[in-house]
Amino acid sequence: MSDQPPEVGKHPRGTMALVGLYGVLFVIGWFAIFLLIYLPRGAVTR
Amino acid sequence: MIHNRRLATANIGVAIAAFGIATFMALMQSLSRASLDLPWRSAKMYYLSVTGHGVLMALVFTTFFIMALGVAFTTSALNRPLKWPRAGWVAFWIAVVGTVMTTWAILWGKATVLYTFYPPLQAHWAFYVGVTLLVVGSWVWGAVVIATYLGWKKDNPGKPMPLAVYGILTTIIVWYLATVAVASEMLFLLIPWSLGLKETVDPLLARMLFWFFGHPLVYFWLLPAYVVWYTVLPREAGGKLFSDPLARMVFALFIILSTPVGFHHQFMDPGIAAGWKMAHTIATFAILFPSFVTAFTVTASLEVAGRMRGATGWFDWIWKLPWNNPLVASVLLSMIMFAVGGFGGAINAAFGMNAVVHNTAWIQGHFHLTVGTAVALTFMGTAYWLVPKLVGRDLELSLLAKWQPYLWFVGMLLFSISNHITGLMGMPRRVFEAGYGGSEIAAQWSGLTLVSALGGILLFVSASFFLLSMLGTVLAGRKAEQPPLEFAEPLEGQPTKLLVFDRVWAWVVVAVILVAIAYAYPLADHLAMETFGSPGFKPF
Repeated sequence: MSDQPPEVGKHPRGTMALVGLYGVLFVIGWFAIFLLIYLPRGAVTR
Repeated sequence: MIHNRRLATANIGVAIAAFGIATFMALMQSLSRASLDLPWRSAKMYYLSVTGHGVLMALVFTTFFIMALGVAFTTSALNRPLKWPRAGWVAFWIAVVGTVMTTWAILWGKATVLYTFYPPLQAHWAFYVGVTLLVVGSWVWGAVVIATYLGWKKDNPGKPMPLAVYGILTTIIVWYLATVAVASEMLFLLIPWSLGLKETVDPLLARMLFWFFGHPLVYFWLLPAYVVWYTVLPREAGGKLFSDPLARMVFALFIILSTPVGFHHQFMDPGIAAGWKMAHTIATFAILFPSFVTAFTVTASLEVAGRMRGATGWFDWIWKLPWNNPLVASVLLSMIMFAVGGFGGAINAAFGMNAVVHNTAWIQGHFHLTVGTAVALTFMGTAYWLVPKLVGRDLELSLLAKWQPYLWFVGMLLFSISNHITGLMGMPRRVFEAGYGGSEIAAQWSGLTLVSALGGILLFVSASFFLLSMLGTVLAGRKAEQPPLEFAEPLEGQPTKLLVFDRVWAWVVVAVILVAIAYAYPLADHLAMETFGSPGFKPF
């Protein structure tokens, strides 16, 4: 890997930040639908 | 080098032709849903079009494209021709005959049953036999690819197979497992019923068999796209694959988890115990994991590419990527859309929350992000890269090819997001007259259906750019030596030892056991119940 820039061998910090951010948004979005739409509408059998 | 080029070219040609026909239908549908006063607009025309669009896009375009990819990638990665080339052509022609039969039945108004062909909606027997032949053709294709791999394995004992071949084999295995169910549905239920040999059909049994097949069908589409993301994208972006073992783990997980998930499409169906629906829900959430790993590995590969181009900061590598390369742009935009689609999928698959979005416009918004963009846009990007290599000509109308992915992205954003919102407002999917005769509730979503229609127009223009570029390349592209089909190098070099993930047949055994656990009891339970068959209905 000597012909590669030194940055290449390091941890992919940008990727980890993006994937982490996506994970947070994923969970927030899921719970937003659950708390703000699903629960207020009540059970489907009502 | 690519062997059996003519076979791969023939397959990709049928795929693109099917895409072209289905594109025109899509434009009409998106305008019709906005209640625009179009010539020849009618319920019959709408449902005929929805059936044609679904079958031609979801079954024909994808299957032929995947068969082309399987031939090109396997022969290139193994550097040997197909072991049974004649059988490869037999597979192609069986699938073509099936496609012609199915398309005839749809266009002549004899199969207005949508792409899910749920009974008791009944089609002409040619529709069911045609779809069956398409699947049989793909089975023969799968056998040809497997035989070619086994020939290579015999000559290279102890050597890990190339990652691209692993991905294609995974696709074939998932397809074989899934299509057992739809073949049973066709042979034992729908074909005899459509021929008049049986008077009634069991709709719930048919739906169980359909969704046994229907969800892994999604992975049949998605896995070849992942193969492109893992093995082509990093190299085209100027980098390397971040981790080969992680990619192999992902493919192994898809072998075992793709199939025992179908009941999450049937939360509203009676006759399936809630416990089994919950079990399939858990399996569905488990299969999010390999997609998350894919998001990490492919993005990390892109970060490697950006850093090899000189990036040093946290995020500047993103702008160093070649966004003007049609394949790279297509896949990057596909990945962004797939991230949104993955979130929506977690709502669909949640046992309780599914009730909020079930059978609403949300669903069509969702699958146009996943299959309609993550898969279709990746395939279009791949075509810009692969077709010139297959026909030995330069890509024609390259400016259109550069703009096309961005136009698709914007068009799909408008189309899909508006459908997600109207779905939450209660707008049903698959309904011809979304205005409901001027009802107050329907009036609330009428503005958003216009946004959706605008998205449809942009998508149509984008698809036209793609078709023009492909047609121009094949007919008028400059004949020139093309670079060989090469795959991305892993960052740590090519693997030299077999890993646990390379024991493919062991994973197949695990998959079969999981499928048996997930389906044997519910199917036996259903068959033991007293059920009432239904005669066929042909509304148009």
